[in-house]
Amino acid sequence: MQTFFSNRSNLYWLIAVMIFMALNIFFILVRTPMVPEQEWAQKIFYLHVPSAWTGFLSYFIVMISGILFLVKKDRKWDKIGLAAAEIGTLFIALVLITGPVWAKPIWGRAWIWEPRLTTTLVLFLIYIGYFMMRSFSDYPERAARTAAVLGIIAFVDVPIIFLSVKFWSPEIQSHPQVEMASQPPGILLPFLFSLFCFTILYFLMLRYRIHVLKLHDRKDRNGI
Amino acid sequence: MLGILIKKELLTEFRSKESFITMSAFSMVIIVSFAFTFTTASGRFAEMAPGLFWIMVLFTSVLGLQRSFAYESEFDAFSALLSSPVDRGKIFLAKWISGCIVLALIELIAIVPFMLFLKIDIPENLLGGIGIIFLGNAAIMCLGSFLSGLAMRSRLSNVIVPILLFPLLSPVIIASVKSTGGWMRGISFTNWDTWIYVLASFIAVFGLLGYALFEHITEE
Repeated sequence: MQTFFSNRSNLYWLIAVMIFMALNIFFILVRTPMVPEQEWAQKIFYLHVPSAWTGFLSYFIVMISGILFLVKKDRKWDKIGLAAAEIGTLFIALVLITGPVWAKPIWGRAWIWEPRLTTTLVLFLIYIGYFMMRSFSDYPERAARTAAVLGIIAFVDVPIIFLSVKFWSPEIQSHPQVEMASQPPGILLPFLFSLFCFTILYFLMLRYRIHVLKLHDRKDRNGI
Repeated sequence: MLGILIKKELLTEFRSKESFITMSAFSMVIIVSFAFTFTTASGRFAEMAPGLFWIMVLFTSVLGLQRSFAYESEFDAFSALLSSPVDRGKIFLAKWISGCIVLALIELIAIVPFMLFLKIDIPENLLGGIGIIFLGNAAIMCLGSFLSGLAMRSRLSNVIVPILLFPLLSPVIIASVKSTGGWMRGISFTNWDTWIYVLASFIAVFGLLGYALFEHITEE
């Protein structure tokens, strides 16, 4: 049987991701300058922000797959949506872990109701419900339809959640990554490189997960 | 057709009175629990009143939503409803509107013990409060009706609905509490009008989405 990495392009992709990721860690630890007052804690942002970007990109893909599934009724889009939801939740969990790791030494508290972090937490909770809903549906066709609709609703809700949390606690300072674009090249370039590494890692993971879901589907259809 | 569907929903409800009685009793239980939990001076209760009120509404509405769709599972009534020549979006609208009416009636009953037991004075400008409650109810029941329809054929649907509903409703909870607080303290409307826009946009977005997508979630 052909494995995922028997495919040459997937194998090259994996090698590229491994090299880029190793370089990324090297740049973060050795090449990026120390930010006064934050020191080592600041380095978590080279992982935190790309994780958030990947998570939200993934949930955007869930929404697009949901719309395409409802329009075309092709199970392929359900598999893409499910794979994106799973991987997106993984990255969002990473955001929720790395955020407090940074916040504790800088803000003195592990959790602050910062609008971005709060929106991420709410989205994470919605996706827990999403997976529960999927697993509690008895019919795969119905589960796919339900998941497609939920993926759309969840993403549409994001800007409303963000705005309401922002106005809810305006006294809370925003994340320092807001100013990331205006950072000197010493910080900005490694950050953009990390963003690139996370994105290609994400698409490799997505392809791999879709492949596994297809195998599951084939196994279920053949009854083996 | 929409009128007939709303009438059907309300008739089903008021003939059995199941939701009505359970929701009223539940709201009373919550109010008494609040009084026991927060043994504090009356001034403090007035400060917390908007939050407590909307927690009560949220929990009570979940109970009503579950009952509303549980009726449809009995003798597979929902399949019969779907096989009738009715626009499915209108079924959603009927559930939404009738849910709002039932919830408003429950609130009308619950507001007296709420004010009485928690020692809260009646604020001025009652019309403003009615408007906020109307918008909050509409937002909760809009998404609530949609999600209950989505989950009604799943196992453990009564567990899934609140797990999905509460985080999705977080903007509504914040906006309702903030606007109620502004109204109760007599703060000028321009200082909290943002929250009314949040509620209105939530209702508009999810009302339209619910109407458009209800057909997909009810496909056989």
